Amino acid sequence: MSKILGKLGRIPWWAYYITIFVTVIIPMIFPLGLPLLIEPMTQRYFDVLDTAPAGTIVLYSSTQGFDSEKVTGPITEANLKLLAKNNIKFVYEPWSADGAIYAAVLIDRLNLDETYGLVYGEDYVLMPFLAGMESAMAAGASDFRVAYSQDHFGHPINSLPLMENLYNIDDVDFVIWGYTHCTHIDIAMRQYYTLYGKELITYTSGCASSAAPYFDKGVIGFADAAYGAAQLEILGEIPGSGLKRMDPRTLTILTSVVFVVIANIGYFADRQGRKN
Amino acid sequence: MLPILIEALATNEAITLLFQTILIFGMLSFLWKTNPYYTVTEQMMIGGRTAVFFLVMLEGIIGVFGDIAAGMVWRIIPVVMGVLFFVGLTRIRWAGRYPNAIITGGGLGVLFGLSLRAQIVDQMASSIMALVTFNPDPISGVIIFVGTILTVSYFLYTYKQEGPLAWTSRIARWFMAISFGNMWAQIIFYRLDGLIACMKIVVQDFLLRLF
Repeated sequence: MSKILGKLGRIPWWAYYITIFVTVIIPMIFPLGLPLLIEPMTQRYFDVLDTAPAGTIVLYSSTQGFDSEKVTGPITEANLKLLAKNNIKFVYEPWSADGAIYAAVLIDRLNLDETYGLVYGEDYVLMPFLAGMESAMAAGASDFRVAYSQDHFGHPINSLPLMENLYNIDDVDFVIWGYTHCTHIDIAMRQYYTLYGKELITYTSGCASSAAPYFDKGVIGFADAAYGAAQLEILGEIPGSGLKRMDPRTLTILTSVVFVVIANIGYFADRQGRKN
Repeated sequence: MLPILIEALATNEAITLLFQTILIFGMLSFLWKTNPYYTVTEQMMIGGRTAVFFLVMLEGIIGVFGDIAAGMVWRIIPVVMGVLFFVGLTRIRWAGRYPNAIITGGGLGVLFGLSLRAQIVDQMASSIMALVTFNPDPISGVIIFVGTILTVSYFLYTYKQEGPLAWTSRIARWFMAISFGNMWAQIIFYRLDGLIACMKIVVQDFLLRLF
């Protein structure tokens, strides 16, 4: 018996790949409508945005660009829609060379100006990319005008109505931190919370566990990639690309768990067989 | 079939989708083995990104010269530092050490003290406080505290891991294994999210609309 079960531990890699491909494609053709759990951290993330009074100003700082769009695209879309829907003004600081271009393309693609009446310069400002990551973040947080003389489109900072009374991070209400590398949460914690006491809501690209240690210690809500986006879309009633991905995602996770269980049965049976 | 295909391809969006599909299959062909189709796709991605990065950087450099012309004379300092990087290719290569030293020193200064506070002192304080405040809940508070203490004990190399320390190390290994397993699972799902996004382009956005 243990010999037969032991073979389960040697599932060929192509069998896993083919199964994953099938479980990704089938729900795209025949949507299943699998249930979705709203996590408390994501609920808190949504509540922060939903209860912010109109006219709240946030610093939207993000490391994402086109390379991470496939993973963080849905959550960025959900974020921008919620900001626009709740009339929250934001200053977008990109920490990827193509970050500002990405944000501009996304805002344009989502048609936020027509749907929610978002006006550039009054409701949001896109800063250009600054090299230096953490040093540049520190410079931006201490004085926007020292770090940037003009915005992404080349307008002088002082000519933008939103920047009129906005000099440094003390002038914003809270920070949205979108990051694509798991250790980047530490940078935002250092430069925004530890130094200035600004609380963060943060979204990640599959690094929720890196934000978890800071939950309620600077991070007041976090959402993870497409799964977080789908939850925000349900809570905010703003259907988008996150929800569309949930059926394939849930199914692939279940499939992967089944493979892990089968492989473990095989491993332990094999070990038992060798002992005997 | 052919007229429908031509009609569908007669828009910018359709051509973009077709191009994306070709590139996605090129990338996925790596699962079989490294092949010319994959290599071309890979090089296209690297080349495209390099071009975008170069243009963004160039724009930044031009912007700095604009600032200097507008009276922000101090911005000449980073320009000089940047130029000094290139003297490493000349006889006065020693001067190239200055920008390196300044960037390293400045970078360390920006993060060092804050790292201690954010990642060690504040985390230790909140782990202890969680026992008193029951935040997020009493069980989690205890698990976090016990997990932290035991994991630290695992890295006590000044004592031999025997007696009670052997047990604490063994439990600590479980805590670490669960944490690493969780991280590993998240990395897999990060990749799966990418695959789902790509297949959505191929299946939902392109093929299902085409047929």
